[in-house]
Amino acid sequence: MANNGENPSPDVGGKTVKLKADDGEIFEVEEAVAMELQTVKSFFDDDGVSYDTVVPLLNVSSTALAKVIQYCRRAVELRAKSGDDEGANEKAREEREGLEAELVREESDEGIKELILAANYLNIKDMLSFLCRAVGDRIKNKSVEYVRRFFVLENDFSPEEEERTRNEVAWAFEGVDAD
Amino acid sequence: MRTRRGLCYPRVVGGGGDVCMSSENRIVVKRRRDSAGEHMPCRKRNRKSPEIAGKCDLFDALPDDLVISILCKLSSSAGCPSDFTNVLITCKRLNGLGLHSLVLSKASQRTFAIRAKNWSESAHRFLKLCADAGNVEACYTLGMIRFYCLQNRGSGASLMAKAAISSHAQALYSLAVIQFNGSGGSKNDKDLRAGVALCARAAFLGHIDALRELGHCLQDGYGVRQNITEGRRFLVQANTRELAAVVASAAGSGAPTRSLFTWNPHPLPHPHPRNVNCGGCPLLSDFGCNVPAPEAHPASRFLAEWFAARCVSPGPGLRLCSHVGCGRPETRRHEFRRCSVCGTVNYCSRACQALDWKMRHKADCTPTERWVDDDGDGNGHANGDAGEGDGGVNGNNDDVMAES
Repeated sequence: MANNGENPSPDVGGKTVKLKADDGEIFEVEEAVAMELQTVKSFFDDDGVSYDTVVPLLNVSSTALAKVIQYCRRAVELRAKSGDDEGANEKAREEREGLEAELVREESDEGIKELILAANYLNIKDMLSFLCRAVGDRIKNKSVEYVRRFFVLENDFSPEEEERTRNEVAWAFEGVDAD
Repeated sequence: MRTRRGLCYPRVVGGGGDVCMSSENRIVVKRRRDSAGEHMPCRKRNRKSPEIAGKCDLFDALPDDLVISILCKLSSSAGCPSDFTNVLITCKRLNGLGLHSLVLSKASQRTFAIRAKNWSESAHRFLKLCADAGNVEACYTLGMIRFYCLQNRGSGASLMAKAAISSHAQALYSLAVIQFNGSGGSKNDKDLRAGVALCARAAFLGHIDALRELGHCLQDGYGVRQNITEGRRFLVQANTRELAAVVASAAGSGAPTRSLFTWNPHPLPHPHPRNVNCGGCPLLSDFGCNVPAPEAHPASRFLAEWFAARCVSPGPGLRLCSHVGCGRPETRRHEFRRCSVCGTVNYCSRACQALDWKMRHKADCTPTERWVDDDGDGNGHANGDAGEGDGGVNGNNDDVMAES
């Protein structure tokens, strides 16, 4: 859901920040949302630049950035809703988990990897945490081949090393009838 | 989905459609950041993404600390050993990072659910690695295996102690059982007060068996000054906790809890003794409710399998605890105490006795003619009444239980 360079103007009166993705696309986000991205936050904290400066995020693609912004917006909203009330807290947490699940469910493997790199670069702790968990779930109890395909790995073991490694973990497998 | 021991074929990179993020080589600079609140050794990899036939290798672009983060989440949510160990066979980098101590220290309890028939030196090595990395469950599991199966008492006990120091309730309880029975030593090595102290610590962490054991000790004045009301309080608390756990797990799994709690004024006849998975909750099974037994710890399952499936005898004349979910063997003759009524079953602890009584033994227990006259009235008084449902009465036969 890439934006067309213009976000619907936020109805909260407040500062907005411009973020530039690697292909030059500009995203305008509310300050509160932008501050979720720790990278952006420290960009403004450290340098004392004015808020009008466009923040260049050359390592993040526009698709990834769009999704990140979308997630952060919702997260900020939910956090505002929760406040002190225990029940509301619980509900907000569930909603956030639903949001996260939805976000990862529709992602392809490459999409998730892209998001992880983006979240890491932008330094968003919560997002990174659930993305890592999602990747962990995806490779859990899949065959070795699947994991290799997922990460696009080359098997750099020599045949002897391979044999040795397989023997090291042979105890973990439930016999030969699987899948 | 189960894994398969597949053949490996040499991989050619770039099979699936990779997304090319940016066509230039770029140096990915990673900042030091906290992952889930911890500081990780940030091995920054400033790497250029290699160009391979115009496609980008995203895995290479992932820095070590991210991969470690992913692997941590994987290990902490693993449901069986192969969930996690799969990763170690894929490539050298994942192998190295997968064996990183941070990842190993977070491994879940089920990662160590080794089948006894698969036990090998490499399994032993893996557990040792995890224990060294500070994984409490690994310490406990390896401790139990070393103590009971490999007969290495000192090492096993010290590993369990390591887990116990980190407030691992199960380890504390296991150590208590060892103290109560003087396992690994002679009859004179029993230390009742140490056992009670360990049990108390486990009980305060909420361990149900320890609560029961402590309750019985207090009622009988066994290793501690007798305090019947306090003992009863602990027994009731054990039942309450068990009930709460059952309800919580039933609610979690979405099972219709109604069916569990249908009131049946006439307790159901206990199921076939071989079917030990029904009526695991002593309290509820009194009222004819069918609740599933709590899942045994992987270490207990390992022990049970070891002595059963592997046909390894614990030793000449040594028996196993008759509670199937326990798996503990005796370490010397007549270490465990047996049922005073029929004398055919024996238990390592009162908690095991209470649980097995409700689950299974009540249906089987029949008084036998015993020429060793320790008690003439070995019929019913020691065996809990259905209405009480606390299993507490079983403990009263402590003095009656013969330790011949």
